Amino acid sequence: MLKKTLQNKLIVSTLLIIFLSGLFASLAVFFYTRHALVENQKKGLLAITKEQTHEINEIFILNKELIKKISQRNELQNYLREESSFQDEKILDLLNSYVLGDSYLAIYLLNKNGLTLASTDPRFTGQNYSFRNYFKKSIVGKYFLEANIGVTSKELGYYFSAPVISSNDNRGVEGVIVIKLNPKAFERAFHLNEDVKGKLMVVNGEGVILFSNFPERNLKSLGVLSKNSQEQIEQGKKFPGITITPLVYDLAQQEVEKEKNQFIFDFFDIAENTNEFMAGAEIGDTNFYLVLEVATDFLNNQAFLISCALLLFVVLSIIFCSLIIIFIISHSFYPLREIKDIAQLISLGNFQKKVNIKTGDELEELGNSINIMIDSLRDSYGNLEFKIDEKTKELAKQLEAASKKNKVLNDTQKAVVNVLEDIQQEKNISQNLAQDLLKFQLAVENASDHIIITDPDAHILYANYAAEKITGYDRKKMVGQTPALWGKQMNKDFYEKMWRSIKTEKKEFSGEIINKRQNGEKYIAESHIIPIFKKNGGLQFFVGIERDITKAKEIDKAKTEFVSLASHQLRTPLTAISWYIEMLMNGKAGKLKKDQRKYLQEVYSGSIRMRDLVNALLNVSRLEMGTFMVEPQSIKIEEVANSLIKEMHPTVLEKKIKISKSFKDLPKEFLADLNLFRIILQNILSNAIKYTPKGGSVSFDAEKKNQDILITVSDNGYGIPKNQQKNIFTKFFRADNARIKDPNGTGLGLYIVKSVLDHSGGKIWFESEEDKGTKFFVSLPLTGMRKKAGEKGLI
Amino acid sequence: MFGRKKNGKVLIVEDDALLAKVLSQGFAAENFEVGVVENGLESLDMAKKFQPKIILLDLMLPGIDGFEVLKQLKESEETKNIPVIVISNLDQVSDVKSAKVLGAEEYFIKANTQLQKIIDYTKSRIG
Repeated sequence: MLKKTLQNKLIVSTLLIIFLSGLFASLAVFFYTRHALVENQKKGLLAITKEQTHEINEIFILNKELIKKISQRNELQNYLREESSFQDEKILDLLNSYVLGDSYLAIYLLNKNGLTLASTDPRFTGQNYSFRNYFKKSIVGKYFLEANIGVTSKELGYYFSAPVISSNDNRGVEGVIVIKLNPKAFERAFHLNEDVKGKLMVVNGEGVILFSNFPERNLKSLGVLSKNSQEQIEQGKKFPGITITPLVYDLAQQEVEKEKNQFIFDFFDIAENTNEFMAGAEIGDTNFYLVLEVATDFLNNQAFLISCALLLFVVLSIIFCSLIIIFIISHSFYPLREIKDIAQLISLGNFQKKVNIKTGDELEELGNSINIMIDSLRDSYGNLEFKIDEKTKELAKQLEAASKKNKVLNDTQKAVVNVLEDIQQEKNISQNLAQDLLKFQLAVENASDHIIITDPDAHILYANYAAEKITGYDRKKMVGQTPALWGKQMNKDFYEKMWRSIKTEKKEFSGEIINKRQNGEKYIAESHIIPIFKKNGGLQFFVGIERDITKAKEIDKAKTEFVSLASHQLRTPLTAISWYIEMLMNGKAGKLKKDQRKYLQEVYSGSIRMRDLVNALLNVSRLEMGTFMVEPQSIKIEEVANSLIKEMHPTVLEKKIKISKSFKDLPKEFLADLNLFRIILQNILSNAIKYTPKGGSVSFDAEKKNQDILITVSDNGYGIPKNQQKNIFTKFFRADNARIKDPNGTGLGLYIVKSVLDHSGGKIWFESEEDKGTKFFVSLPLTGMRKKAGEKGLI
Repeated sequence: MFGRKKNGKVLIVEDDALLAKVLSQGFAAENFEVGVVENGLESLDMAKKFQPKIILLDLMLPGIDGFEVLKQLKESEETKNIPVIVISNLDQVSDVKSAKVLGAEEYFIKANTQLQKIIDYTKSRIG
């Protein structure tokens, strides 16, 4: 019995498929061949049959011609007309002149009434044959042929009859001339084709066999006679004294009786117990038939031989294919055995050996996958061992700690026993220490910020209550895991930067970070990670402190959105107000008094200030919502600066300020958002002018420095008080001296400038001394402002 | 006060009633014959009937907005030759561009523009 391996299954099933399809093909070929042979044979047989009928027909035609010739002899007409005497010598001589050998049994002449007037066979003379079909047909003018057994002679003969027609005076048919052909002569004349290996029969219109190469069939009918045929035979006294017994070929009998031109069919001959064909064809237009009966078993033999040859071929093919398949399959299954061996090794915990299959197909892919599996199994196995190791070490540490504690206790005991006088003092010290520790522990445990301590590889050693509350993870289960448990929401760069800071640069890291609670909810945390070092400088652990600022952020956003909406809504009524003031001042409502004009001027500048504030607030809200865009385009720095300086000309003139400018090594074109670039320069320039007293000086310098564009705006104005410098970029912040000099500022300008630069890759800083002056520096990379997608520009 | 309207007809399309009022008073004071509509749909009919010399068009309008009004004004045979000045508080460069592409002569951001400037521009445009 074969082993149930995949290989054997494949081989067996493949062979089975080949065998079954081969068998099916053989059977199909057998039946088809047989069918084709049969059809072909049928055609051939019918053709032969027809060919044979021609030969017979020729004999018949010959005799027909002869009788025709005799019937046209004038002597006969005269004789019939005169009706002199029986057996007139002249006539008899004439008739006898046509009798050659034993071909004709008799030639005789009948008068109008069927009475035989003259006959070469004297027995016929004086007999009346008016009952015969040949008389009935010829007396009405037809040539006729039939086979009968003579009433007088008792011999079978083929009767050819012809009318004797008066050629002179239209007296019509005057008698009938008859030739009785000897069947033996017919048989002699007829040559059976040697190819025909069957039974041949010549039958008449009633299906009676007149001649056969199997003489026992003579004067039997093919099958059971129809009523009509029986009547024909009786009335014409065709076979007097003979009972026509039927053979078994009823089908052929029917075909003949139906006067079919030709027929062929195959059938099972119950008399001879063989498969046979029977073909028949009419001989000329004589109503006689030639029927051929041929056995067909030899056809089956032929078909069988062909199929056997095919089957042999199939068997050989199977053997050949089997050999090839077995070779191919064993070859391709070899790698599977290797995989099996490796799998067994894996189950024994041996991860050393790898699958090495280079077949280039799916098996190689399988091998590679298994190798990957082996690697990860080995890793996780190793990890497991590592973790067990760690836990064991931890346990050892705890045990050590416990024994140390024991030791301390012992020492203390000793101390208690030995140094009684110090006991109170010692007790106080240790109590204080313990209490301090407890305080710290409680403080950390219950802090509202999330606090964790991790080892240098970020494995969590401790987590406080807030960590559990914020992240949603059980803090006991956090131990051993890494903060990736709730982290991993930021991009790779962020984490890389963080690790660089705390591990390589050994610096505290702070930043806003997006985390994910256990329930899948994301939150924003303000995160600080502090590395703690050992005395020797090595990394001891990390302390991570995080504060959930999601709510605060949301509130902030809502606030900004409100500011945006409110500012926008404020613009419309502000516009109406300033336009009405404008109309009043232009005298559209009548001429104003001096005071009225003065007050109205105040109202107008108030409304303009309000409008500027609203615009600044809108800008701030767009910056804070992150909806503003930076769209760098090619600009010329010099052009922008000149146009801004020109715009400020009225104020400069009014304050008599000296303005100087310089442009050094600038690129021809610079990529910047024109609007934002204008806002930046406009703010620092207008600040310089605003916070410089009359007659002061302001300078604008732009130059290429290393890989940056550096713009410096300096003045010799009021300066920024030292203690307020750090707040100068804060929203709404205004230095004390600035408030006094210009109460109309919004405190938003520098905040906006710094925000824009932060978002577009630039920097801003300053140097300032009170009452001496200020220098603002703006730098942007030579490559230009960084593009930022958004919905709104600033105003 | 409303004597001869020698400066011709101006159509103001503005949905804010207060602004519509101040604009119409401002222009009337400058001897314009003023027509006011408060929504986009009416403005199209009114422009055909009133046949102003110039149209002042706000952009944020109820129903169909000012951009659509501008487009349809410029598509209609009867109104396509009437100059349109956009007055709006939409302050984006992209808005200005769109309006000019659609055929606006000038674009004023209301909050940042003096009324007199709009009137002067209108006069210069008609004159």
